Amino acid sequence: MANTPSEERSGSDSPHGPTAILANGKFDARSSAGRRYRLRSGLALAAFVIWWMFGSDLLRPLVSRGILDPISALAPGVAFSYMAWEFRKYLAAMDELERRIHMESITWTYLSGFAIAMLIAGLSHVYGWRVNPGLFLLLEPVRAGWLYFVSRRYQ
Amino acid sequence: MKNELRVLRARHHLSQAELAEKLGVSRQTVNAIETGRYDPSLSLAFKVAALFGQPIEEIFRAENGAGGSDEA
Repeated sequence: MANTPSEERSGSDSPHGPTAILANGKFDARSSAGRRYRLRSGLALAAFVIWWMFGSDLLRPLVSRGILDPISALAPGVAFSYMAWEFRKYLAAMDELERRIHMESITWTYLSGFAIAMLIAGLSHVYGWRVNPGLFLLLEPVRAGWLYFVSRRYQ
Repeated sequence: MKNELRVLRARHHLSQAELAEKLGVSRQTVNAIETGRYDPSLSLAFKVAALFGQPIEEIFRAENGAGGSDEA
């Protein structure tokens, strides 16, 4: 088979397009592992959001607070632990270059997130801000940005 | 690190996609190795060597002759 010039570039079949990376924080889910991760993490996130918004309120007349409150308290941790577990499996099933790109983006996210967290810690200490740990969610778009940036280096 | 992957692939009349499938990696990985943007893992380098029936050192060479660069 001929070596076409279009192959020299990343090409239109590249899973490293900006839409998937910046919107979802991962490459196109063309592999079965990618589709499985997207489905399972999406279901976990939906279940968590539904519980958080409606579940405890709907069940409150039927179930005591002693049972509902611990479930509500643990729901975010359990949901995101499950998503992290699925992400680990998705990473393990990846092609070695894609895994490297993901690991580099996670490293950069940790380093930049740590610096930002210390900045916020200093400001909140001095000015008495009450920082919500849920702000950690903002690290996801930061990771997506790093993923996009790092993936460009290998194209 | 320099490599002869593109030459070997052309010699065997393989497209990047076909080579990628034989190696069990993505076409982007083959492209990144050929263009020198990514140094493959040792196991992938051995797979390449086995596929083309050549010693690994004839396909992959350190650019400075002293262990190569860490940068991909």
